[in-house]
Amino acid sequence: MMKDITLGQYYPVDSPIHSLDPRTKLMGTMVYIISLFIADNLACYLLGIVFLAVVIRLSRVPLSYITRGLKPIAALLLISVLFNLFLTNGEPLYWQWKFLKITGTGLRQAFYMGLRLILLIMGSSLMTFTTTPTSLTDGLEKGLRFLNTFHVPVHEVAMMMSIALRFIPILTEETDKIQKAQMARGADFENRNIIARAKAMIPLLVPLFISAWRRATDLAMAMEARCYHGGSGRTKMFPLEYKQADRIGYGILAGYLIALCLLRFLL
Amino acid sequence: MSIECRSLNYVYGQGTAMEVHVLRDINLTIEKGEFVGIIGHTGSGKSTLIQHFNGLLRATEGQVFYDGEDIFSEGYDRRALRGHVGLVFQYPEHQLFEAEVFQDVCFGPRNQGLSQEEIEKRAREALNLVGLGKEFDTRSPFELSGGQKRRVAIAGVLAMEPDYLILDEPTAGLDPGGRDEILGVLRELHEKKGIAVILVSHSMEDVANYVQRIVVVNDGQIAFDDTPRNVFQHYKELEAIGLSAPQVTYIAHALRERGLMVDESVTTVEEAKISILAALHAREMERGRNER
Repeated sequence: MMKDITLGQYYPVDSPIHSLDPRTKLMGTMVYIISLFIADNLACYLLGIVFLAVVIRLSRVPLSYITRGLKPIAALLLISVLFNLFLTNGEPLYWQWKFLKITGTGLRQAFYMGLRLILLIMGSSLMTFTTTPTSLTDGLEKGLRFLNTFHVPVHEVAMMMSIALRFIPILTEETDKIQKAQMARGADFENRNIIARAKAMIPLLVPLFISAWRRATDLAMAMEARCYHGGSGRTKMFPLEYKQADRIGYGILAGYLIALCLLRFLL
Repeated sequence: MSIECRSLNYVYGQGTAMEVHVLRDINLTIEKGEFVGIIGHTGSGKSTLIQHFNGLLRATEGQVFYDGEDIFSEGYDRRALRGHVGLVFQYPEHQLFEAEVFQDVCFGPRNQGLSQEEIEKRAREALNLVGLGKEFDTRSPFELSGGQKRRVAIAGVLAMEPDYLILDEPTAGLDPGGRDEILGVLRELHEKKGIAVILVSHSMEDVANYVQRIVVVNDGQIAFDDTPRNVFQHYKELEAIGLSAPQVTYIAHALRERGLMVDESVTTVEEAKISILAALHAREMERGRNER
C-alpha cells in the first residue's frame, strides 16, 4: 500500500533533466501545470502529452515508475471523471435518468478532466523523481527569496518542506518494517473483509505514529545541538547558479507555452 | 524437522536503477533444536535472509522448505508457518501498540485463533520466560525502560510458541546488563524448551558465548558455516570482510606469540581462563624441573 506512494521519491540516474537547476525544474513544473489549465482542445492536450513524453524520455526514469504514482489517486480520478460525466448540463443530450445524464459537453469535460489529472500527477511527480529533496528546497528557497521583503519566512518554510519530503521515504520504510513485524506475529493485512482490514490498521498505525513522533523529537534535538537558528546569515556550500542547459530549458519552456497558447486561442 | 533454503537468490528492486542482488545462491539447513548465530557486516544480507525463513520475503529464485514443504507452494498456510517460525525484528520494541503489556503479548496468539483461556495462559508464560512478573501486566509498554520494552516484544513472539525463534540483533542498543539478560533468556529457551534459536548479530562476543554453530554471511553469500571454534580460526579472513574474532581469541594468539603455550582456538573468556591457567601451570612445572 505505502510502497505505491511514489511522490517525493528520488530516482537516482544521471540525465539532462536531473542535472538541471532545481529552479528551472520548479518553474517548468509550474508552467506545465498552468498550461494544463489553459488547454481546452485536443490539440493542446496532444502537445501537453508530447511535451511530457519527451521530458520523461530525457529523464531516463522508467514510465512504469511514474505511472505507479497514479494508483493512490485512482479513486479521486474515477470520482471526478464520473461526476463530470453524469452531472454536466449541455448539448447534445444522449441519455438521461432522473438527475443523471450524459451529454456531449459532459463527455468532453470528463475526458479532459481525467487527462488533465493524469498529466498533472505525472508531471509533478517527475520533478520529485529527478530532483533530490535537498536541491528542491534549495531551489524553492532561492527562487522565492524575494518574498523575504514581505516578511515571509522563506527559509523556514523551505526547511519544513525539505524535512517533510525527506520523511516520506523514511516513513514508507518504517511502515514496511512494522507491517512485517506484525505479520510475523500473525497479523493479516490481506483480508478481503473491510472491517477486518480497518482493524488490522491499528497495530500498524499506532507504532508508526509513535515512531514519527520520536523521529521528529530526535531531529529537533539534533538541529538544536548544532545551533540551528533559522535562515538569517546562513550561507550555502554549493550556491545555485544557472548554466547553459538551464537557459536552453527556459527557452524550450517558453516555446512550449507560446505554442500551447496559440493552439488554444487560434484553433 | 528443519528449515531448508535451496539455491536462494533475492534481488531487490528488480528492473530499476536501484537493483541490488542481495542474496546469491544460499544453501542452508537449520535443524530443530539448534542454536545458530548468523553473523555478517552491515548490508551483507543477513536480515534479508532471515525474512525468507517465515515467508515474509519471497525469493527471486530458489525455494525455502519448512519440514520438507515448499512454503511458497500453492495453498501453503504462511500465517500458520509464522506461528512455528517466530521472527523478532531489530528494535522490536517499535512494534508495540497496545495500551497494556499483557494485551500486546496476546496479539500473536489471538491471531492464531486460540481460545481466550489459551491465549492468556500463553501470554502469561511468555512474560514469565522473559522475566516480567504479573505487576507488569497492566502497565503501558511505552513507560517501560528500553530493555523491558524489548523483553515485552520478544514475549509477544514467544507467546505464539514457535519451534524456531529468529532474532535480528536482539541486543542492539542495550547496556551490558540488558544484553546479558536477553541472551540468558535465549539460552534458557534453547536448553529448557528445546526451541531452535537463530541469533543474527555482528557482535562476536555474543555469538561465541552462546551459539553452537556460526553462519557467516558476506556480500549475500555464505562464507563460513561451522562451529565457533573452527570459524574463528579464520580470523584473518573474517577481518578481510569487516568482521573479527572475539577479543579473547586475539589475546590467546598474542600470548602464544610471546611464548605462553595457550590454546589458540579459545572463543570465550571461560575457555581462555582454563587454557591460560593450564599453560601457566605447565610453565611453572617446567621451571621447577629445570631448577632441580
